Amino acid sequence: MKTILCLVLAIASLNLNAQNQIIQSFFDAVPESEDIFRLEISGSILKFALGDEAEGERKLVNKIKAIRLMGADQSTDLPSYALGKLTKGLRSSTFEPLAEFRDGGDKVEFMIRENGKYISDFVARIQDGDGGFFFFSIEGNFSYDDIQGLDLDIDGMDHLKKLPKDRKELPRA
Amino acid sequence: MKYLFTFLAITVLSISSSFAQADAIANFFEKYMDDERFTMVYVTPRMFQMLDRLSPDDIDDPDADVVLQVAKDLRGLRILTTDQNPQGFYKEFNAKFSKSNYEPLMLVRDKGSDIQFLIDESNDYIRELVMLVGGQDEFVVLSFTGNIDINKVSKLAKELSLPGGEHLEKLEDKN
Repeated sequence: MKTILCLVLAIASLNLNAQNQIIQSFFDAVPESEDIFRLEISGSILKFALGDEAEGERKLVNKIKAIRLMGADQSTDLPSYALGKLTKGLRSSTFEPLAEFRDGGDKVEFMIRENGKYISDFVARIQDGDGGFFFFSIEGNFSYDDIQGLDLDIDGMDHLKKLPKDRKELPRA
Repeated sequence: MKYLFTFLAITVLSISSSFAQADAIANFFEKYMDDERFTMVYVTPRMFQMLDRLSPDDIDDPDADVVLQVAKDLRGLRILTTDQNPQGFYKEFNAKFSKSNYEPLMLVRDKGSDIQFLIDESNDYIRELVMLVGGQDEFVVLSFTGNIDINKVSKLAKELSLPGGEHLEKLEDKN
């Protein structure tokens, strides 16, 4: 599973362009709550977070417009209309599925949206059988030559590393 | 003229049959991909196209090298597996799936399970590898599409711990 995630994240470091109304609308629709973890980072803050010793990543980070993360132990903590609108938007013709894995009630899916020859959005959505929900999106402007790996020392990125290497270790209901 | 019509009819029927088989797998997959009784893996052609553009240096994971080497020739992966009523689903799938357009590669009977490997071969390359497992404990239908090297897909299945993938090792024994 970790291998697949690394590969998919590397693919995400592509040319990303255009605003993402579907995802921003979803984040705007979810109210602040102690039961919901959320993180929205603009590209400008990422550049500050890098520090001087991160020249290697700077070229890549300069092309990130935004990273968004949201998680909840129970998807019922999120407004159902917002989740429904997000699902509908992601299944629209502009989003293309990359891969989907499901084991009982646990589900992981990766999607992209393209804008010409660039990819405007990369999305990962995880739902577990216990009702947990996790959402990640990256918006920016990358090319394959810019790929340096997304290894940013920012609070919240470690949530992605919690995904197990082996699918058998996915949380079960 | 009569022979021309006959030839055209046979050609159309052959093409239709081929599409029907591709549809049989796709239809079965679509029917059960959201069914929680199944474990499902679906990797789209788009994903494999993107993997094709990556080099192992881009990824900080040693296992990725193996995956990328194999994935560059693949165009799709679908897996459905369940341990609930496996023999029922095996019968259902076999009833809808005619193997006439596939060449049987190997049949293994192991501890009460039937494991079938079938290929769709064209111009000396394998376009699709289908694996069916039907037994008391599990049902698996797996389909790889692309330009398939059997040894490599077996390694890929092992690296990614694909559900049902352990059965692909039997293909390595054959080779």
